[in-house]
Amino acid sequence: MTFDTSDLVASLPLLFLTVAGIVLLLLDAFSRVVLVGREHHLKLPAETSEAVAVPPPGSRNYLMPVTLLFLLGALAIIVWQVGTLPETSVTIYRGMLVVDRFGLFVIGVCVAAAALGIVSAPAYMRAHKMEFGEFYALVVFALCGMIILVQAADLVSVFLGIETMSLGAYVLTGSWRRSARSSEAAMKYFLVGAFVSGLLVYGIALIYGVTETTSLIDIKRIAMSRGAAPLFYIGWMLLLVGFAFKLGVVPFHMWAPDTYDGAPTPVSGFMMSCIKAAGFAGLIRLLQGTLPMLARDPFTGWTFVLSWLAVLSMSLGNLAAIKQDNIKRMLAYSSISHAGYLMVGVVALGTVGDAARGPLLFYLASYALTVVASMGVVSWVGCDERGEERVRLSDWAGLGKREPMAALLMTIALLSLGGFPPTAGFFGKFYLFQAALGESKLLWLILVAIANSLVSVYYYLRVITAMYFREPAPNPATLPIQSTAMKVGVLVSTLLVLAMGMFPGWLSALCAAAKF
Amino acid sequence: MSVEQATDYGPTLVAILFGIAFSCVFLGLAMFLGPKRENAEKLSPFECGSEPIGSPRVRFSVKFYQVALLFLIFDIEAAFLYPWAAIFRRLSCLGTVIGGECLGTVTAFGFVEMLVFMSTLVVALAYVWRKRAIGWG
Amino acid sequence: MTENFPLYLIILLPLLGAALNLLFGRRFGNTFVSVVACSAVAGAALVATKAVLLVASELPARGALVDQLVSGDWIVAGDFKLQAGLMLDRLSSVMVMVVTWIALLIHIYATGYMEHEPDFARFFGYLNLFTGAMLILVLGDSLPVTFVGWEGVGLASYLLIGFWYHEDKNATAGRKAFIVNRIGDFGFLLGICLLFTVVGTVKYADFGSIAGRLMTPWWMGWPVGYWIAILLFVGCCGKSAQIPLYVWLPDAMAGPTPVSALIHAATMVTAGVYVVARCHTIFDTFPEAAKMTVAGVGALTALFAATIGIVQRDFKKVLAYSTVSQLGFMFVGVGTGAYTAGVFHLMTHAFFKAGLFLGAGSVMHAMGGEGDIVKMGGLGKHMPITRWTFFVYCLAIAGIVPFAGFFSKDAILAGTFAAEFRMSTQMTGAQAHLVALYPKLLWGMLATAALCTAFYMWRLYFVVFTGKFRGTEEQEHHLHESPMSMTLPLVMLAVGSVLAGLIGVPAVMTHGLPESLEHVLTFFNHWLSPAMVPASPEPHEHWLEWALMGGALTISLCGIGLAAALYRGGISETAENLKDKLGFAHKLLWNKYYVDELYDFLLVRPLRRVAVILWKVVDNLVIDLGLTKIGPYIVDSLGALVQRFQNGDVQRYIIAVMVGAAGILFGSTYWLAYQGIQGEVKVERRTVTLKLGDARMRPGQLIYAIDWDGDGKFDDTNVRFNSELKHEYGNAGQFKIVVEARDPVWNMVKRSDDWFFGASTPLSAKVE
Repeated sequence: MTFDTSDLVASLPLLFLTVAGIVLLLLDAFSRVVLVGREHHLKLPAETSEAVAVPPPGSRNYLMPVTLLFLLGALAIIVWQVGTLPETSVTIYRGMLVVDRFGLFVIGVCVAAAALGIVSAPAYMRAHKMEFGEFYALVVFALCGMIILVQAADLVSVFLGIETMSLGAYVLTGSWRRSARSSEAAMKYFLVGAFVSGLLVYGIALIYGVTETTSLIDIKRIAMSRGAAPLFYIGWMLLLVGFAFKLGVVPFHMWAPDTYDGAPTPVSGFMMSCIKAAGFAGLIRLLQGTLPMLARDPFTGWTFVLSWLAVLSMSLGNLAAIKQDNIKRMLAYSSISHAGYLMVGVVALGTVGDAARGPLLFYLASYALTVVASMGVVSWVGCDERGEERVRLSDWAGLGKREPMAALLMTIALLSLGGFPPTAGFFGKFYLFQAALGESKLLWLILVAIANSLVSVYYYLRVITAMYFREPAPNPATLPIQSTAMKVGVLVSTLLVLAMGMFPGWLSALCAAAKF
Repeated sequence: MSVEQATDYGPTLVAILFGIAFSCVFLGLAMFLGPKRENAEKLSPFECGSEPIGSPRVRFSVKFYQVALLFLIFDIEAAFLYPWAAIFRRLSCLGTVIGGECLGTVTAFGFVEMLVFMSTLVVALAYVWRKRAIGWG
Repeated sequence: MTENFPLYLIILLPLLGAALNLLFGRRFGNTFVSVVACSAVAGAALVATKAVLLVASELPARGALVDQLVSGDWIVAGDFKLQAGLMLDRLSSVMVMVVTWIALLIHIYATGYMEHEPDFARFFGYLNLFTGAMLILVLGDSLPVTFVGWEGVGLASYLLIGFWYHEDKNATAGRKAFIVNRIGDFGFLLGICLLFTVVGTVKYADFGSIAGRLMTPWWMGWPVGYWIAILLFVGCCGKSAQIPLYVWLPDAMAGPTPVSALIHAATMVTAGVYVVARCHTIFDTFPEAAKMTVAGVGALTALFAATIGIVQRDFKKVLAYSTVSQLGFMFVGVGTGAYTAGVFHLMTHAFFKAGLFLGAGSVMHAMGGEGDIVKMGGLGKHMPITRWTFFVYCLAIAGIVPFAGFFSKDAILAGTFAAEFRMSTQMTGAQAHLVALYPKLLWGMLATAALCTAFYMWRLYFVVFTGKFRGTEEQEHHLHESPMSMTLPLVMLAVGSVLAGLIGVPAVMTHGLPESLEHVLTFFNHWLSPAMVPASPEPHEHWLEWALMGGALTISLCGIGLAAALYRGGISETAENLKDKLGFAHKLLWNKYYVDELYDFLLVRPLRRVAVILWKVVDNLVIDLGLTKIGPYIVDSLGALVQRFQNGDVQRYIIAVMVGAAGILFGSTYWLAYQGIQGEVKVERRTVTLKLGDARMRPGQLIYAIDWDGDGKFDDTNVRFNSELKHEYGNAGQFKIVVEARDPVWNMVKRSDDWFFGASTPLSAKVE
């Protein structure tokens, strides 16, 4: 059995973050705890009087800068790797992972979004009286899963990546243990997720049954030479179902509103931005990287299936978002519709080819940053004296007066989500639709997408109207979270959103260079 | 799926149908053939011959699940040692292995791999220890 | 020849100042705001000066300093690639110096003028924002970058005109300025787009080589260059207040006086002149109809506004019309090809007009905000510095030797007189004669305008500063000279108004002087002429030039004399009598030729009426009822339907996943669900060939049965996908062919005469 040590160097971001996660986990485990009554901790009836060890408030705050350092280190490694990468992709660990610019770009986006997102965590946890030291370790472990997924060159690593990522997300969702909604969200996400994982594995098994391999390269070769057997179709469609679930695509989206709404806000932001980015990257690798020849079949081709998923996602996501009075939930539905727009990009990848990948990556990056910014503001707006989040539209009325900075940043983020210039969202949509127009057959899909983005403007603007033009409730019991780190995080991500909208050239060049 | 391919799955289908039919037949036989002489004693819930005390739906301590989960995790990871041991020679050999003899250089690869794996287990153990997940009190 | 220089600093500093003042100014107080605002502009001015010195010393005449703002492409959209950069050449050097230094003086002045203003920070934030945007406009290396600045100054101007937005009048004035400018901007943007589509470049550096492409015939037989020039000029008309878009500028005086001085006199309004000079290649497109248009509009505006200025009573309104008129002069300059003269007048005008406005501000400051000159009088005693500096400005704008206005106005007049427009060679004699006469006509209009200028400026001076005070006693008691921060800029601008002209003395006057002195005196011409090709027109004969100069001076002196006769020592009875005698003319001028009323009648009211119809029909009926009631009702019910499935029940979620997965599997394997049966029938006597399926159908996937004669019984069954099927008919006639396709996976059947889900082609055969 041989082992190539250069593989270790090639997978340095993954190894680095794994070690970082372990360090963070141990730091949390060996930090100070205090013993309190169980009922005090979990709001249980006082019948069980055992004491439990809980971290005292604020005692885990120091983990945030440590994590931030780790993430910045990982970013530095990624940048360094991009610089030293050969033109062609490198396969490592005996064909389990592949290192290329595409993967590194998406990983970079995920790590950056995570870094901008976690800065609001300490203040959020303090305000909501939840001290959860594992938060940082879990974020980093989930990032490891994303790296495996994005760099997967084998169905086994695809599964491994998805599961590692999801396990982190399940626990993070339920990390606010005093909140029943958080636990409910985690439970639902976990149950449906476990079920869909079953479908995913079944799909992988079927594909293995037909091709006798799990390596994506071999699968591509076999599918090209032998054509695809019906079981193979069924297999990859089950795989597609698995991905569609993780991405929150209609009709596999039902968990998304409950989960994003119930989860602690920094977690929702992390999931909406990073999981979406990594999931789409995995999907692109699977579909365009492995099965490009199956794209354009009139009905069995994945472009056909995905275009309908895109239509459903965009339309139902937007329709449901309009009805929402809860901003977090509205953003959750908006993320479903954005998954639809991104699906349009994947369809374009199948029909137009490589030219659409750059725009798709641009959209992913712009969406990830915009979500981080908007969720940062949702954290910022804070909670009432009982620690309940203020996410109702009426809670946000008059925010422009109370917290002008928060309102301004939220406005920019919402405009970006709606696709207004001069924000990143505008160029994301513009590039994506333009690339999709390369194939005249997709015109109908683009028209649907544009109609949908018009509809979406309605509910984004509703928030802006509430913030600026509605009088605040007579007794605004809202306590905005005052945290410099959080504000800086939101500010930086919003500035990036603006920068990408005003100077889109550099990012689109970067995206275009992110090849397989 | 063509007709020819469909026949490949024929035996499976037959097995499933047989299973269903078999259970239906025997349950039905028991229902029809068995004598039905009911009395109060016979209709009461049966638990080791005596009346049940209290509701069967009591709250268990979450500790049971916790311990069971931890046991499962460490157990399965320990089970991973067996296949490792079985191919240990091949893992540690650069070259072919014939009859347990390595014809190339012997490396520490297999050993180091397992050390890495075990150290992650140690980290996990340290974590659950510190989190007081093992102790009962 | 280009060289790199961090030009971005010049725009960054004011923008940073704006950000600081707008974000934190309120918190840190007025001293902080003044220091930040002034030092930001001072920093920009110093960097700019350093850069201009570099241009002067290191670079050849047509060289430029450049600075790439965005590495790589700024905007990429398909084939459209745009870089964003800054450029400083000799032309932009003039502008940058004028903008930064005058902006600095006015910032300093404003710290005094606005000291009692509660919204101090907001004011200086906007003022810095304006300076930054103006510098982007001037330094941009391509039309789109200039356009960014163009819109930026428009925004700043809007914000500052309506700075005291609590008064309805000011907000309306701001809105008017914004809307009128939007009309112009639309033309400007169209011009940029047209330039890009036809010529393929929007970078100034490339303009040297596009003359040929501009000649492409485009519309109505005119070359595309003409249309681009006209569209750009529409934008310039808006920004630089020319007929017919000048109406916003007099109203813009609603803003604070330093704003009027900086934006609406010295800098922003000259942007149009700058753009015409900058894009002169486009305006030079043969035949030079575009230049004739520019010059004609300029001359008309100059005369028109000057006549209005004669009778106005509001101090700042007089100055506003004077600005419109002087901008007309500049446009005639650049329109006749005398680019140097036009830009020179831009520069000198910036000095004395800024000074005049600041003087007006100083007076109004003393009068407690009163702007009606009839209520003033005799102010010279109370405010000597303001009075004497104002005296100097009036001399300068009237064009008296050796003040700045004389040289620049003379250059324009002489250039206009000598201009020749190159038009088509196939003109008839009469046409050619008219074209040759055109510059003389322009000259005549300008000369008349100059007469009016001298008259109304000196009328203003005499009425305000001489005679007896005509206001209330309380006002008289309050009269005082303004503080240092206000008088210092006045003095410096006065010095500038004396000296600025001396670098542009016409060559004919410097003959025989020592060479070094001559060099200084004709500096401006040497500076700009080599950078602008072709060179400005000049009279050929020296005597003519002297004569024109003398004529211009005489005209100015006449104007001054007339004003002195009527208004010296207060408003004379003669003036009042004259006003009554010329009642109609006075009324016409007093009401500004009723242009606002005309626009109101022709444009505003019809538009309002359309708007009312739109409001009543489109808004109330279609949008309110149709879109916001019925539309949301549909959307809401759909949303409610979606929500019903989203009831929080995990089982239901899993069912949705299952249904979705099943749907995908079914949809992607059951081909026939979406697609009809496609077939092609070929008849050859009695033999009919049927070709089933098309490229989209997978071979071997479906099993067909075919009924050749439409009797309901299938003649051929279990037919696998085959490229062609043949059938021999026994007798002649029209036969309906029905094809039934069976999907072996789902065992589902579809017939070619089904009407739903995917159109099948109706198949039939006509057999002879």
